[in-house]
Amino acid sequence: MLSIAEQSFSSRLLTGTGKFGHPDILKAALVASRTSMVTLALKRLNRQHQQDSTLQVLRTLPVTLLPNTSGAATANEAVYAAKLARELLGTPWVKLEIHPDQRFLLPDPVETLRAAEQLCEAGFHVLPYCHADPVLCKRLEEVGCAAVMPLGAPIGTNQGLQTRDFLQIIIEQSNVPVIVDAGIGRPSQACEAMEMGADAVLVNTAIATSSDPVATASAFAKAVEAGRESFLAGAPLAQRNASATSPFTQFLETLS
Amino acid sequence: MRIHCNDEQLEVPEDCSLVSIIQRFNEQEGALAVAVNLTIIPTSRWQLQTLEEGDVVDIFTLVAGG
Repeated sequence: MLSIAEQSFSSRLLTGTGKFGHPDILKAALVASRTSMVTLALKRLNRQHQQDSTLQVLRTLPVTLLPNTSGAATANEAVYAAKLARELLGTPWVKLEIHPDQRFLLPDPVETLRAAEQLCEAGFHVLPYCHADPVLCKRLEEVGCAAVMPLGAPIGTNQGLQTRDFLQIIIEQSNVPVIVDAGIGRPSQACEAMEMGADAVLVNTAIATSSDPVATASAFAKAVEAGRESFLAGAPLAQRNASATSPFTQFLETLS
Repeated sequence: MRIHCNDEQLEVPEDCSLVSIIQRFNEQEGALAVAVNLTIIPTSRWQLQTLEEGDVVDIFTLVAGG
């Protein structure tokens, strides 16, 4: 079973709650995904604020809430956001996300490491969204992060595991759970990440923006389980040369 | 006096309480986190906390996100 910061999770599929068309669809999709950890975001209220029922929906489900620091452009802003989320939810969990660039939403490694260090010292369970950089992931582990969340591709792009080779190195080296986050667009890509040995994946856009989010969530749940099972079963490595699966009896040669 | 609240300037009475500002946003209990001048104020202190000229009040809630 997946264990992060000494808490067990029944599912290896983390889900985001953004981009769903309706709270009922969100709820049904989360149930179908069988997820046990779900992200949500902080927002500064304004007078035009439409009430958002996400938190109400999530409080009816048996899931651990993982507030993120999306919107933070610096370490200081992220630490502030994490503390606000802790005050609001009474949770030590935080998905640390610092992406100043709005076009590609790529995480700032320097600010992320700086914030991770402060938040770990303050007793948070920090799950940092980061580039698939094996050295950075080790540094994040060393400052006390409960897991690392390297990206497969930029957020919301559905490009799959563009960082495959580096994810493999991160998985091999990490002593904390590796959760592949961002860019996973199809269940087959989630399955591939799990087959590589990732401890979990986080999926949002691919479920929320599919034609049928509930069915897609179910497909992701199965893909993640299949990938994990395959990893544990020890899938053999690819070979260049063929290797016969039937015996060579050579009986055709004797007839000629 | 004037305060800043979520990037908006508000004209409020002297010794205005924090809770009176929070009540302007019709949000459910347990769904808000509030800070004054970047210091987080626990819910239990919203009633007692009074505001001063130029204070910066941040009111956050949680919404859908990935």
